[in-house]
Amino acid sequence: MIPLGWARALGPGMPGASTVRAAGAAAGLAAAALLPFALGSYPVHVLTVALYYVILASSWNLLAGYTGLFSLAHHALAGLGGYTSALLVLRAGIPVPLGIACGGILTYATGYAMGALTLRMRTLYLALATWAFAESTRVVISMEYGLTRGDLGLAVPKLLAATSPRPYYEVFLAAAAATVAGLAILLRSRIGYRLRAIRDDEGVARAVGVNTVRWKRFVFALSSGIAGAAGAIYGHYIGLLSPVGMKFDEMALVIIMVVLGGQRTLAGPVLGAAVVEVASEALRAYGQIRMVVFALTVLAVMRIYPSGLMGIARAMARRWLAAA
Amino acid sequence: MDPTLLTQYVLAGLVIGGIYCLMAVGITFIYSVMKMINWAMGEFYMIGGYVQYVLITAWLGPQRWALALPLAVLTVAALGMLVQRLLLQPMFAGQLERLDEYATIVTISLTVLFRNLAVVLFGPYQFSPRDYAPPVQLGPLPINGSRVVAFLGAAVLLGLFALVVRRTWLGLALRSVAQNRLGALAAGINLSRIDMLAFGIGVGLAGAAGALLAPVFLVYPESGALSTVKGFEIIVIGGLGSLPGSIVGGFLLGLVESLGSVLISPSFRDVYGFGLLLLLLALRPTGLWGEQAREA
Amino acid sequence: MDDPLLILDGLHKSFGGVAAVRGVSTTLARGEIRGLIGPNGSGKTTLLNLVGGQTRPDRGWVVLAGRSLEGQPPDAIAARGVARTFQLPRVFRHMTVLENLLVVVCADHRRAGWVEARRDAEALLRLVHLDGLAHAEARTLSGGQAMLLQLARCLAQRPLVLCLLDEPFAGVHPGIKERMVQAIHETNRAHGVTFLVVSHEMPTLRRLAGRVSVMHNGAWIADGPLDAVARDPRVIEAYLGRPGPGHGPEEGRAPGRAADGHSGQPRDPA
Repeated sequence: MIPLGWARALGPGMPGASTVRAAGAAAGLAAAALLPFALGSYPVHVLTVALYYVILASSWNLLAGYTGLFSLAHHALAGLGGYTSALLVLRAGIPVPLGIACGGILTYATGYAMGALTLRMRTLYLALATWAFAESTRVVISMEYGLTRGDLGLAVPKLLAATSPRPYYEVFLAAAAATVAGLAILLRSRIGYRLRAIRDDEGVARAVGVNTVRWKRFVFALSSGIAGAAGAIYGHYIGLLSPVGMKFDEMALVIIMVVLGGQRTLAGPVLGAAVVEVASEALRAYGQIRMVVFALTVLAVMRIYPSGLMGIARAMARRWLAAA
Repeated sequence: MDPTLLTQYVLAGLVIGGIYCLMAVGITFIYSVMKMINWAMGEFYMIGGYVQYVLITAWLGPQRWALALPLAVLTVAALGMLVQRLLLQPMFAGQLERLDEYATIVTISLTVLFRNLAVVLFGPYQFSPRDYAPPVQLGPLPINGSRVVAFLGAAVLLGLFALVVRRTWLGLALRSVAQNRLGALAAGINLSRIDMLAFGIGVGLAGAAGALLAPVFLVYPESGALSTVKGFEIIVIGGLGSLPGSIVGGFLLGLVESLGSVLISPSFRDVYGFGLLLLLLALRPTGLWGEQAREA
Repeated sequence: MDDPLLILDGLHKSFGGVAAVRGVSTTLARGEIRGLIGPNGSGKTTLLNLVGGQTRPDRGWVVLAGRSLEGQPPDAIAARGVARTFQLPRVFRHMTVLENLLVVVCADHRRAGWVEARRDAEALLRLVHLDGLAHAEARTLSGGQAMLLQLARCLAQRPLVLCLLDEPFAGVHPGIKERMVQAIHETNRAHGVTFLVVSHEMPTLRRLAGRVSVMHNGAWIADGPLDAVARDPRVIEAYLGRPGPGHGPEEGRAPGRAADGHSGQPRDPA
């Protein structure tokens, strides 16, 4: 299940990876860590939620953007991770961090199984099958009232004793940074090349010796595990879980974030998640129209500028560099 | 279990199943011709309901619901064609890769767009036109008149659909595009127009379902969600791209829900379909009639 | 021939009742360059798919270097040293030309470090004269350049004992064709790599292949030096549908594909 040799295959990435970029990221991270001290509770909460979506969007981007496995079950896996952790903590009395780990492990295994079951499916069938899984999971959680308290919601023990969102912000920031950094290392490694090759032409990838079966399962497992763990941390932050959070709208939101930010880039999902979540909160007073705006923007992006915000940013940067 | 009561429930299941067929046939038809899945089918269902309601309350009055129906269907179909022309047509213009992803992202975005637009325009309230007909007695069990109308309407529409597909030139063109796009193009068929019409017909069926069921399931922004779910459940059960699969799947789902409600428990009504779906996914992932889902 | 590299024994493959490959048997010697010709629809690509693992035979064996390839997936077969190109130029479109070759180095069975890998990839690009395009996105390549990249991709595989080329010269600029021929010869001479080249281009095959095999309707109908095969009446009949002296496939143009109803358009630009 954990492919032997993937650790060896990680190694140092292609030489030439920019140390400037890494330094910039580190500086940005430091700034981000200090941010909560300059903001009030509510903005920090918004940013914390945004960081949760950064993790979700980035992990989905790995699966769908880079490897080409267009799964529609990502949000359900986050919910599954949340419920698993919550129920283990509530029923078995294990400490919350262990619960979170268990949530991630369960969703890792679930993702592995999904990867194995959908190996030969074309994009549309994969989308249908993962959609069916997500909806089934939501319905089952909703129905198992005795276990999950269904639509009433499940009260979840908190991770930290704090009343302010600030420490949670730092937790999510660390998790998001670890996710993005981990993905960066992965994508620059041999595994990254294999995944991208699978997306571009699976048959050719196989013909040159890439074990597409193993890596499709792996990437499904990894991205699902990340989503599950993130969902678990989120559950232990908000203190409440509900199958409402596993509705298809959540998946649509993740897709919107990744597409707006720029698929198949590392910064795209980060940017997309941050922008959409912050804008969503900022425009909350205007009601549902903000979702209309997002949807229209995505449609415009798909139609006119498929590379999203990151594409625009890169084009601008190239123009500045050319002019300089 | 009283056999007459069982029969009533079976009939009730078939009635609702017939309506589910409309959604499923629409989804599968669009897939057959355009090779894409329209995830926003439920939203066109929802729009059909709204248009029907608005037509009845603002203009035609509740007595002339039968006149409002075709108008609602045509409106939805026209909207569908517009959407297809603006957003989906470029899919086939050549440069685009990974069409499936594009179509999925675009139609999912449409879901978000329409649903929230409905809230913005009409608010989150539930509307309902008056029942289309008084309740009909089927033995000792009275069936809601609107449901009977909806079933008959679905039967008529599916019959018309079958007629068009089998007996008309348009149907021939549609079938040829479904079987071989390149061949159809070589034969001189205007692919972009066929795509547009196919999409319009497909969503028109969904809009019809919405208009027919407006008094039964009510009209509100989220009303599409459930029908999308039902529609795709049927697709998974019956097989993507198979019209007989959609029809049999529709009736099967209606039956399973109805019998499950009476034999096991009515509160899990929506779950039985998923049980069937999961069973099929495990045993026969391409559905009962499905084409091969294996990659080429 | 003792210790042949590749043995095909009684291969059969049908698709829905249509036999694409019928009872094909042959052996390839180590270091041989074999041509494979035949009218369209004769099963040549299916045969390559059977060797490469993209398809499983209904009956028969494929034995590579003494070991059967039965039940092996394409990536395992690649790990044994089999490389192939595809009839339609298939490259990793969203990667650069160089990255296309680096994917090969990242195959599961490979162990080379990045520095070495990059060096070897760049050397290969120089061999096929694609080094100028090393950082171009593969989707910007012309059809001929993409075919060249496919060949380079084959040559980047390690181990490499057998190269299956599916119509590598089709519609390709003569200059590029020349580079391909040189690269094939170079690899064959320096490393003893065996080649099986499916092609319609007789003049090019004459320069490359010592022996040519002919397929028709899924069956192996002739085998031998190109000149002998070109005069074989069975081969002539396969191409033209009727026996006739002096009208063989020798004439340097892609043979009339009248048997399948395709037009007899010459494949390479005059």
